[in-house]
Amino acid sequence: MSEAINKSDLIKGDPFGEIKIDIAGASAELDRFDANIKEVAKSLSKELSAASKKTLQDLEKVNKAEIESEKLMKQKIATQQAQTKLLIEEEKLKQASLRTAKAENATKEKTLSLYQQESRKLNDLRNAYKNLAVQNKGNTKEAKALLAQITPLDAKLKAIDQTVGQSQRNVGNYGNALGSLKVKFSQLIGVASQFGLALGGVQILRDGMQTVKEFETQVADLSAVTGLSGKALDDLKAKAIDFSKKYGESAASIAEGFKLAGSARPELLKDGAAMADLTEKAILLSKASGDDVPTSIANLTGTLNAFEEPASKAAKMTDVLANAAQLGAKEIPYLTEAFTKFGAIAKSQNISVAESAAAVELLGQKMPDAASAGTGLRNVMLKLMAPDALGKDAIERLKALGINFEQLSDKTIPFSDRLAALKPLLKDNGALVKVFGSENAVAAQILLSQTDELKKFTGELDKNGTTLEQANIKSNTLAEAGKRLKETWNGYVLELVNGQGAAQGAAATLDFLAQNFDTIVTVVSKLIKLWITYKAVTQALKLKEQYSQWVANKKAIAESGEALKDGASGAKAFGTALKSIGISIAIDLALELAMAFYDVASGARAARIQMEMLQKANEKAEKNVSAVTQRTKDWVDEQKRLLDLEIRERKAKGENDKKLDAEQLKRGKEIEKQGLNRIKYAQKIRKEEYTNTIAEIERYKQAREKLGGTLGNQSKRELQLIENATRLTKEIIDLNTAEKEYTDLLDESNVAIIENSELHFKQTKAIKEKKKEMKSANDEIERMIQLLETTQSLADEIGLYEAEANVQSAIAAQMDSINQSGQYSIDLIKQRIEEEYNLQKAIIERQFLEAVDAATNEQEVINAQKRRDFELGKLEEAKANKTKEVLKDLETAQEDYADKNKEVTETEKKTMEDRYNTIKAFQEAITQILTDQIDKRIELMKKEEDAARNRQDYLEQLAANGNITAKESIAEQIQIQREAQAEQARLERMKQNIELINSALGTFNSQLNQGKSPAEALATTMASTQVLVGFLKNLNFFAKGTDNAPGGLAVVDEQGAEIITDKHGRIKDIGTNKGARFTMLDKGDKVITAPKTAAILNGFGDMSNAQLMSRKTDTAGTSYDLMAIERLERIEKAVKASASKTDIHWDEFGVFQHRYQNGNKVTNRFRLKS
Amino acid sequence: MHYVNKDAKPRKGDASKWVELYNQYLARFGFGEDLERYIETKVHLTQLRLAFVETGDAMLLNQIAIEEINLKEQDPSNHEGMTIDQCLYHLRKQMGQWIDKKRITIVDFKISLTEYVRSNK
Repeated sequence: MSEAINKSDLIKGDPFGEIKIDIAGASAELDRFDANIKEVAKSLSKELSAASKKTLQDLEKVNKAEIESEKLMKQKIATQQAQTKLLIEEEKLKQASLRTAKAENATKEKTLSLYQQESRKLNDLRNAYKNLAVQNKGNTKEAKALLAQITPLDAKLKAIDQTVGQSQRNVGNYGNALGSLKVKFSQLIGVASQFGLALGGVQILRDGMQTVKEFETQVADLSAVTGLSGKALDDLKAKAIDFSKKYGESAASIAEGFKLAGSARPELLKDGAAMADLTEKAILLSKASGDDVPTSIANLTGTLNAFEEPASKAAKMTDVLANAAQLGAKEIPYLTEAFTKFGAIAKSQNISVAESAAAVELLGQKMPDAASAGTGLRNVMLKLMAPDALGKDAIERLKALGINFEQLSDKTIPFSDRLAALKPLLKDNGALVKVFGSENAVAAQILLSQTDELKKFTGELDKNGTTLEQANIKSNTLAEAGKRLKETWNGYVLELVNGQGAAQGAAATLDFLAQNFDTIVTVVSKLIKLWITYKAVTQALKLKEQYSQWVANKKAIAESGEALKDGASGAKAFGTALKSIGISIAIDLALELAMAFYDVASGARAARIQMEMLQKANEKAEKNVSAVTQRTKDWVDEQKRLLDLEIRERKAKGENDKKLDAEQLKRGKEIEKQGLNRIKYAQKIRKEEYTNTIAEIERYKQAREKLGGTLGNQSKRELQLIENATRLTKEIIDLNTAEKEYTDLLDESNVAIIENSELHFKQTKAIKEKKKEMKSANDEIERMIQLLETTQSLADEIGLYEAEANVQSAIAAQMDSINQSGQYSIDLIKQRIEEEYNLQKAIIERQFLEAVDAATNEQEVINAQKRRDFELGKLEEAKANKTKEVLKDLETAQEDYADKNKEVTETEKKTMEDRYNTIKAFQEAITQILTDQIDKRIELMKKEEDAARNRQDYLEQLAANGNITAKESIAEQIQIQREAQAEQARLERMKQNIELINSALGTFNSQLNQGKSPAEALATTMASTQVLVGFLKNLNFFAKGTDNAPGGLAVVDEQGAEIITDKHGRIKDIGTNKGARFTMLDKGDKVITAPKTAAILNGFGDMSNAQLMSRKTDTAGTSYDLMAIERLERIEKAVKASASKTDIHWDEFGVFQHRYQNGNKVTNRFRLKS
Repeated sequence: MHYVNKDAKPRKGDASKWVELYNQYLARFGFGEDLERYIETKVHLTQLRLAFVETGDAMLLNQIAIEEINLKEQDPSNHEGMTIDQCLYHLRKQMGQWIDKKRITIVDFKISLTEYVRSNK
């Protein structure tokens, strides 16, 4: 295997392609179908409103419309169900796709493990060869056999590495180079981690590899999700590294960002540059908003999707979101959640994102829930979109208010202006509710009352370029500078690994790093120290200005809690202004250092690139050489390789690197010379042979001449000699050419080396200059640190003073609380004591670190450690004692308070109890009497009612017999019965009221008995008896339901759950079966009786059954059925078919896809490539 | 319009004449309280269903369910009303004289009935 592993290598064919097409087709068909039934509904609606409902024909129309509407409704429900099914299938497909990607990765890993086996084999062979070489058996048959295996295997693995974009193996002495750095890195162990920079000796390697691993994992995921590979993937990788350095986010998280962007906007999968662009916008947004990158991507793509905007609009979206987050009350997640509810409607209404965001922000001030705000806004937009579709009442009211309908639905004018046209509604709440409905009235009112603000706010949100501005402001902090510095390092590590074919280049880079490492170490360690002392700077600078004030206040602070508070807040206020100076200096320095470090890293990169160029020059020069030259060159290369091997082994054994490098250079030259000598030697041999041959021919010639030509023609030997001479002539010419070629080759190589040296020289010069810059930065930091050290103790003192002041103020506050109510809370005091303790502990720890830093031998370090442990122990004890003491003081104060109040409280309680016992007894007696009287009256009414009924029967009989006029009969008696029943109901209600009052008083009294103050008891029961009576008087009971409730508190659900709707019939509450309960009704609300409610709720159940489309052929044959059943069936079939295709499984041989064709199960197999 | 089918044989145009007559009747007396309410409910239910088809708002299904039950309750054919003969019985009693079912005009019958109801309220 020698290719990069791609999805296309693993799977032949696309298991999801067909399904995607099916789903898309079915979805489009459904959309068309839905559009059709909507159209029909619209025309039907028009016909219905045109019917006057006064003639038989009208009645016919109404009946027909009712029947058709039911069919349409069922078709709509079926369409919605089919759409839901499609969505589910789409989701399933997504999951299956993810599973495929996972399995693909697993296969990759499996392939990698084969690769690892080969790699291990190569290592074993090499070790075996080295063992022989050490024993001076490098030229034995066994060693040569090993070498014969090593060379092709090494070449094979190198080729694999190159194809997957790894060059570790190519970096021949990478491990050694890193190894040699270990010692130097160790200088930073311990301090680096405090800055978040991984510069510890071993840690650097581990973290570097971790960075690479995380990045590669994300890149593999990115490749799996997007299907990108080769150059496109490489470009994205490079972008990720670039962004990481630019914005201080890890390259892995940025690669993840690409992935998220690609998942959210599938059209970007084909366009890596656009994907990177969108991600960059999201990173800027994250910087401006303070959210993490994935959240910002979700927010940005969510907004784009909600408004159905292309990715190219990302910059505009980020500006609007960032502006809204900065200027508005609500944050970005609130906005995006709201957008999902109404984005599409806003788009269709030509309402801009800025205007939408402004409206959401205004709603957000009063509506804490984003979904409600979004839904409210959507509904308001819908009402504006089609004012004609409003109810008859609403239309009349709008007309009465002189509102222009055309302006409302005119998409060409801004949303705020369209809303402004509705302003007259603010003066007529009834009309407002009629138009927008009670559930949207609040949102509408907020928007209508703030149309001017909406316009102004929209203008502010519409400003461009603010994301970048905010991101820059927010990035200008020490923490961000630190992040960028860290990611510069990580980016450098990734570039190192990503370098293609940079066998010597990477090594050279590491060498370069090693050469300059002292400088880097110095710079970074100073920076780290700066960070550690950063907080102390701010404290110290604050103290410098504050010191005199503090001294002046110190005495007063000790004496008075109030002054203590003032002093503390004064110190804080003063400090805030000065703090910014400290931060800005630190930021500038950190940025400068970050840039310097990056330049050093870039310099190393340039060196590597230069080496690659040199290699290319060599390759070019080698192209047109003759066979002899090639053989010579091969021999020279092999000798050089063996030399390199030997030098490296000697380096590994610890011989001096510089000497060995010089030796390698020298012997390399000698080998080149030997190569030339080989050609020259061959020339010499050929020339000698040629001379001898010519001489022998000459001799034959002379002999023939001496014999006077009697021997005739040339002998066989002579002819052979002539042939040899010709061959030798050709060979000599070839060797001359080879000599020239080889010399040219060497010259070209030398020229390249010289050019490279010149570049290297220039680069070294630049580095020297850079070193100067870094040194001046160092000096600046040095000066800073000195300043800090001198002010450190002062900073500690002010910090401790503030902490103690906080503790004292917390104690004083709790003492006040005890004096007022006898209650206190220890939590705040404990928290403040803990803060003070932490500060003291931090000081001890810092002093310990300083002592360790200054220590010159091990004993001093041990002493410092002991001192620290002792101090910490003492501090712990002091903290415990302090807490105990404070608690004791508070308890004593509480006891004093309790003693003082005990006597008064008990007398008061007894008096109140007596008083309320009397009231209770009196009330109970009255209640009993009233109840008895009412019962008696009810009894009497019942008797009257019975008598009336009997009389009615009698009268009816008389009337039937024609003995009396009908006037005297039924109706009158019914009236009498009704009145009696009404009176009975009134009395029943009164009785209930009295009983309720009594029970409320009972509750009140029992509260008193439980030790509550009268005020508390009354508050628990009711604000006052008067209110209680008023409350009960106005209470409505709706067991029999109502079509027009008077509004106010009511009792419902007496006989089971009762549905409450508003006056338009919209359900507000479906009630419970847990017995009677209080509820607030609005005027005009409808209460549906319990039995009817039960019927309705059952009806809901039936409806869900009815939602299943009937398969029966329509016999009515009306025009509206033309699109119905057959097409729906076809769509559902498509949905079902796509559902069966998503049944995909994996095993070690490949992907299986089960599908159903004509009722038969068919299995497709997508094989893995071998 | 007066139209008498003397021999009670079906003729072309009977139906349209009947519709015309009925419309005249409706123009004068209307549908009646219960039927009016029933039609209103039906129209409202239809409007709700059409609104659902247009908007896809599932919340409308609740209102539709309520209106469907209301419609069923208000359906006049489910109520126990009186036949014309039963009405005539009461009218005869009220007026104290025999009323011939085949001779009384629809206008007389309707007026008598309305007045009877009014006087008994």
